[in-house]
Amino acid sequence: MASLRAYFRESTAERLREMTALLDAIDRDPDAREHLQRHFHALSGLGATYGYPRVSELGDEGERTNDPARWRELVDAVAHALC
Amino acid sequence: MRKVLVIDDEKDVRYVARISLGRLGKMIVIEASSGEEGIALAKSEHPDFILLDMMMPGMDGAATFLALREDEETASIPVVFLTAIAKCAEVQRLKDLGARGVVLKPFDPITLPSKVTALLDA
Repeated sequence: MASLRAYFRESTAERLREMTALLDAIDRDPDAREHLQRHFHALSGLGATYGYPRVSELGDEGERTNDPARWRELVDAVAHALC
Repeated sequence: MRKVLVIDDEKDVRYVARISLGRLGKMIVIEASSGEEGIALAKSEHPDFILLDMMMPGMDGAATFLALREDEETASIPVVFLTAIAKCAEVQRLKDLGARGVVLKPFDPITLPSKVTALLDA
């Protein structure tokens, strides 16, 4: 399980970088919101599988909101949950 | 040794499924990242069963499942859906479509092999 968690931390760090870039582009990229929702959906379905149930909870909330400011907070929260 | 085809657009799902089903479940694991790729691999690799994600961009799980059912080369391969949708009605709908069963995400990688084996052997 430890190796799975290490893999997930690394993979999610890359995902969070992509999500941050999408948030930065949200006003000019018409597809950014859809991609962000998809990322949160992935986090919801993956977090607990890899031993991070808090990440699944944060992913769930990200799926249910459409507020970029809240999305940024959730991205930060996911990063902290992996520490 | 059972051969499983895992169809999911998320590499992190495919990775943990490969570890879980391959190492713990002692299965041969083949991976596809899209419905189209999955259909092609189902025909060429003849898996014993397919683990199929519902929500994929482009050709989603339902469309992939129907395409597998419509092709005589793949119609008899049992399919277990992977989905985050927890609503009983949606789960039943998938079973009514002919799915062997449903595994909800997030799944436990320790119990996934026994869970899918139980669905297949039921």
